[in-house]
Amino acid sequence: MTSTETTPSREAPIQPGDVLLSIENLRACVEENEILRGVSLQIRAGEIHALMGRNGSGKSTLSKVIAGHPAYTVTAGSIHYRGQDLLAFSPEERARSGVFLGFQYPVEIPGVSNLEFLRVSCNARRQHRGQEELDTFAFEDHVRETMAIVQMDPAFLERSVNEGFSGGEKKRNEVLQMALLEPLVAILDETDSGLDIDALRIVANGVKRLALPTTATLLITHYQRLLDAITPDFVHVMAEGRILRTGDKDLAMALEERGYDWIDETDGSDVRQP
Amino acid sequence: MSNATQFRSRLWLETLLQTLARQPGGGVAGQRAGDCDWDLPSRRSEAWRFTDLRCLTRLDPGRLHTRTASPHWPEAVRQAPSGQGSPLRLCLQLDSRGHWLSPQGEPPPWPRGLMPLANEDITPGQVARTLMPAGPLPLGARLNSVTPGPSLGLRVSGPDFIHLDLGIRVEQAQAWLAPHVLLVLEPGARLCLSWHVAVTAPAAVLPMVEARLGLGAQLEEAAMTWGCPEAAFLGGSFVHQSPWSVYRRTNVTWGWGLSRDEPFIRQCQGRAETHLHGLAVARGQSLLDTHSTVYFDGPAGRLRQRHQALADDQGHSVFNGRVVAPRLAQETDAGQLSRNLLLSAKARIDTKPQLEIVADNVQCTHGATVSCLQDDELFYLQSRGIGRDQASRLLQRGFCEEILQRLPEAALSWPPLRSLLETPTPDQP
Amino acid sequence: MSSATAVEALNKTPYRYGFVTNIETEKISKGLDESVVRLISTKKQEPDFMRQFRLKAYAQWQTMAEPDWAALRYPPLDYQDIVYYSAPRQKEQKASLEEVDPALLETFDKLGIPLSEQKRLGNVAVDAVFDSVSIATTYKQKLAEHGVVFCSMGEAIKDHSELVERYLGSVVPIGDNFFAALNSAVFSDGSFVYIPQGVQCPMELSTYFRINSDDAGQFERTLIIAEERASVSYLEGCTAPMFDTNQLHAAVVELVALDDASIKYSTVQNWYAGDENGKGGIYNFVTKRGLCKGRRSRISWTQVETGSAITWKYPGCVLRGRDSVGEFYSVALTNHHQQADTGTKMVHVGPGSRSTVISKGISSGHSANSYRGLVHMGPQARGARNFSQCDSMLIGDQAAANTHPYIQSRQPEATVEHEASTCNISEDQLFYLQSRGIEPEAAVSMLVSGFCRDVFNQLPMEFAAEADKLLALKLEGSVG
Repeated sequence: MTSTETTPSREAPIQPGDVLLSIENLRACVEENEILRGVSLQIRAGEIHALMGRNGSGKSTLSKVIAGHPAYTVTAGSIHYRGQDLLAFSPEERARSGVFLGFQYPVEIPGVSNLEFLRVSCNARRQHRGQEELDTFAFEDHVRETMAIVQMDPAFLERSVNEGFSGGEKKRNEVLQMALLEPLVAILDETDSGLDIDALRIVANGVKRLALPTTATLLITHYQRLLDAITPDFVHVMAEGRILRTGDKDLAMALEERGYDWIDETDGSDVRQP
Repeated sequence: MSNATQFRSRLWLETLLQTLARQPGGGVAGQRAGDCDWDLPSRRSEAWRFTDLRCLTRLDPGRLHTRTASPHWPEAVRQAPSGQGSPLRLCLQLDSRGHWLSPQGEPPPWPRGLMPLANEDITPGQVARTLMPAGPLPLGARLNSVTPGPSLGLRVSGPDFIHLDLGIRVEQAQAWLAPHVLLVLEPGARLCLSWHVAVTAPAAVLPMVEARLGLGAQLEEAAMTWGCPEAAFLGGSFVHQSPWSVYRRTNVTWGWGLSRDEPFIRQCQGRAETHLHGLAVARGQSLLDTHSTVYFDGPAGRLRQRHQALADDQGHSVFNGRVVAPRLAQETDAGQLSRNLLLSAKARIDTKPQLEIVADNVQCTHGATVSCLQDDELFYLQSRGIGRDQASRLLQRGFCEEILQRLPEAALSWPPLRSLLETPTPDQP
Repeated sequence: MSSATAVEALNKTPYRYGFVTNIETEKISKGLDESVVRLISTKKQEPDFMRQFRLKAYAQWQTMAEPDWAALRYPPLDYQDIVYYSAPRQKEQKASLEEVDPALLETFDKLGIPLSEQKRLGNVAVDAVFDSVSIATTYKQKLAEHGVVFCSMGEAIKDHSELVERYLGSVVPIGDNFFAALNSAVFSDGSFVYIPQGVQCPMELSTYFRINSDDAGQFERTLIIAEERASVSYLEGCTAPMFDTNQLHAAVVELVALDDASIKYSTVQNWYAGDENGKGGIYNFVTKRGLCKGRRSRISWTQVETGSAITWKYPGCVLRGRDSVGEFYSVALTNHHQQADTGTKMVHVGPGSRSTVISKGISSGHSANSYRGLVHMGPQARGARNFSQCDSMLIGDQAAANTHPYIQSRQPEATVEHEASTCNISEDQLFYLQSRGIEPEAAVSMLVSGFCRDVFNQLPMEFAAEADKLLALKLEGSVG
């Protein structure tokens, strides 16, 4: 494909079915308010999970806690990533070792060129994997090729990170970063929100291409429409900081038809873990 | 300043202090006059670089008096029911003996929620000193505090929105009026204080407002001050804000030979809201100067400040807006804008925002513009058949409106405001 | 990691240029009086007009007081405790670089400024000033072919005395301010540039100032003249050894641009700024001013200020020519206990003159960083325009950022626009970069350099990267 493949990864090889992420009874709060109240979830290589739920149910919090956002304090429980205590890692160590968060609201960073940002970030991940770093020229070739996946105009490389990007452009930039960092676990927080039909198709295709038998994907979404494009192996429904129900793609369809109230009524009595 | 000027200014001040000491109740001031250890500021000091005090020192300090005339009241203010019902409105005017009386010449009918403070509790400078523990008070406040009476101290309480209108009108030369108002707003109390000041003779008005705002209290101060080219205005507001209090000040000033306005606001534990809006219209040889200070002593305070000045003829506008956010003042949100119209080749604008910030998590912005009327705006009006002069007047009025619309409704009918809005000598084609 | 804790750790890298060169120097004894002024003039074998210039300045200086309006705090300076002339002892005439003391060449090599022929910087001519005197100027010959004069001030006073006599003190008058008067009395050397009519200077010109002694003041004087349709780009760099004491640096720079001429003056300043407790460092009191004398002339100041314990500096433009253009682009970074009071003066005299001011101040540690800028529209400046933007970034909650823009207008048909903002490094930005695998320290310096992008874009290419690196280096230890 590209020059990036010339040096093999030093990352230990992964077999489909290996447990990548294991969350046990996780509790977390922000400024005294408990948001996560005992979340358990296991994600294996080759799986696509969808996490659904109302606004404020704790979906975004879970994604930020996994990525290590400093505003959240974990009060109980654990997260293990490939057998290691993920909570002991700094946000950048998590990113380098292959945990990726696609933000719901990517921040704008004035003055910092997108190209430079992508290069530094990509090289940090490559260095961690024992691959050689790419110089400016090699990287530019690599990034231009990768941009095709999300059909992004290379003109965006010259602009400041996310500055003045439309909602859809920001989300494409997130998927571009995902493609460059080649994560083992990709968490996409509402990557579909604010996208028109075409942009949604482009983003969904990008994500599908990057979902390999040796990687896992967690899609956080409100709507069925992303799941029409990417079929999840598991669907979880969150409410009040807990996973109330787990099922397959039919659960998402049922939700779409009957709404979240239906879950409340069934009071989560048939929770089952994959 | 040359030695001769310095000597003259010293002599003027000493004569003034002696005159003030002879006035009824001037004993305390008299003692201070004896060992007068201060002087009028010189233009060598940074804060007075552009501000000439000659208009003040041309008054004869030996012949000062306190005679006033009956103010023009806006219809809406005079007609409003007083005492009972809502809105509660009280209208007071300063008489020649230094008493605040109703328009009928009666002692004030204090409405529910307004309680006069005992005289011994109204020493001038008590709030100002807590706000500015070090250094001298601003000149206006200093002169005010050495002038005996008239003092008005009020405790404001209860949930009703109370309107207090104060009127001062001067028609006789050599008047020297230094009213002092102390307001104590209890938690949750609400007061709207409006000043109507009109001076048409060589005279000086030096009002000083001190206010303590309790938790969640709300004070709206509207000052309309209009003077003649020989008159001087030196004013100061010192406001101590508790958390969740709101202070809104709208100030419109024009006509004076010299006006120096120095509001000083301190949000003592942050979390309060301050809105300062000023309009200065300097025509003729008017010198209008505003030096404001807003100090955030705690977190999450908010400031919205907008100062607009228009300088025409040989008018001169000076603005210095100081905003201080020390380390305690995290999450301060302060915005300041100074907009200036310079309409004549002999007019001057000097403006200087001044931000002093130590807290790192703050939103502070300021902006300043100086220009004449925009050609494209003039042209747009002209292309609709409006003559250039009229178009220019319309645009000037539009510029003023942005501040005027923040005055209380009732104040807009104050007769002297017309002299501001209707610019004189329209050139007829 | 929060930005607050991130900020705490950024700072253990020592100042890279803090070494002292051991070289025999010729110093006069400490102190200043009229005889010292005469002695300096004599040592430099100056013509009479120069001696009179100095004596007049000295007489003025004695009547003046140190300015106290800047937001700076420092103990009173003892002007009798300073050595006013210090020069490395070497042969009087340097016929070629081979005769320059190898210790000096080595010093400049270590500073990254190779002076020897074989290692010269690609397309940059350098005048190297060591303490009080210029020790070498490179590429003189090549420049002379284009009629460009680039030499030390000492040489200019001898070889181009009519130009010096005409322009010296014409932009910054002898009595302009306390420090300019002092400089006019005792300046020892500096650079002189003359670009003749119609000549585009073929290479970047650069002066490198090095303070080496612990008790010598540095009072250099720079004069750049661009004749009609001439243009030049000039870069100044500075370093000093680390001493516990403070050294005074009071320079004067004058630029003159005639009709259609353009001068671009860039400074990357990295004086020793004192240690993390605020001990030692350079006191930098500098007067820099350009006169846009001719029509459509253009003077552009770009400065990257990272050094000095105290900075007092307002590079400005007097826009006298009709349609002349003045620009000021500045990055001022302060850390530890540094204090900077810096900005610009744009004095619009001529009709149609335009100016742009972009200032970026970054305060971290316990430092204080003040922007002080004057925009003055004179009565004749019809149709003049100014746009100013000054942004401050605060890193940590112990640093201060002050903004004092002075706007004065006497001309209704002139337009002034000023915008200012204050920001910090937001937790969200930091987290976003970290979540893409970037170390907090690298993330902070990435954000800071993004903040300064508009200014760095103005620097000559060779120096933009250097400025970026310098900033990153200076920020080390402010994040942890």
